[in-house]
Amino acid sequence: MPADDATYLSTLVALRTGLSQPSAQDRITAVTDKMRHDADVARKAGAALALFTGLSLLIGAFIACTAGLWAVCNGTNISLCPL
Amino acid sequence: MSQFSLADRTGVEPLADAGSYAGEETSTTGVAWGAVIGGALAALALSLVLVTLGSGFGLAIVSPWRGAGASATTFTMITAVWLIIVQWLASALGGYLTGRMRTKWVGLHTHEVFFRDTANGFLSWATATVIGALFLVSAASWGVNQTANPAAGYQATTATADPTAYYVDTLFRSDRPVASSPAPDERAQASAFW
Repeated sequence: MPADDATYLSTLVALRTGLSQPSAQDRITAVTDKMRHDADVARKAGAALALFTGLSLLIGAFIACTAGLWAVCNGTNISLCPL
Repeated sequence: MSQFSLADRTGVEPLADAGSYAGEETSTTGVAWGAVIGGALAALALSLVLVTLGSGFGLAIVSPWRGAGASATTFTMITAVWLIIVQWLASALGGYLTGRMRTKWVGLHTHEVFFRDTANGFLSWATATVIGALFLVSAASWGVNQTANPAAGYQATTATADPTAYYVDTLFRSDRPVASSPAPDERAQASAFW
């Protein structure tokens, strides 16, 4: 947050809450940090979800291929089967 | 199963007859679409059942409570493993059904039969994935339409509330709440900083 924005916002918070200007600034810093932290946690969870969804889909593709091949190999002369 | 000969299962004729098919070409493709679509639907249905079961065991990826779903808070390793298990079982069922449900191919080299069944298994997975993705996307856009509709009711309005509202509240907390409630335009200004 730019310095003049921070000053203005701390004035606003100080006016409305009765805190002193430095305490208001501390509160703004704390709340901003908390918000960034929360957003970061959500972002990391979203990234992990996407990663494991993609990984499971890749595994699914491989398993579907293998299962299709196994369906025809099952019960045939196994030495000819690549599985 | 083992009483079936190789020719029974793969449609491969003995080598002595292989020459009689030389120069012949069928007009049909190697893709058994009926079997592929059937396998894909089976895979989709099984994954739906498994995801529902997983939700019952508390592995839900989507939660009705805002900010309580795994995507918003914690994505545990158990959920990740469960995702992989679901995909594994569903794809195995879909691929296997696709391989078994096609009509027999006559006069093909064994390796070609093996390739075609592998490819058909892959196609059943691809069909299931695309149908599933379309379903998810349409469900998501339906949800967006519901919340974007101003007549959709109180639940929808609260769900689309300003994501910084909680933090702005925190910012303006005070020992004398009534006298000190910030005016709406001040809240908007504070929210705009983020």
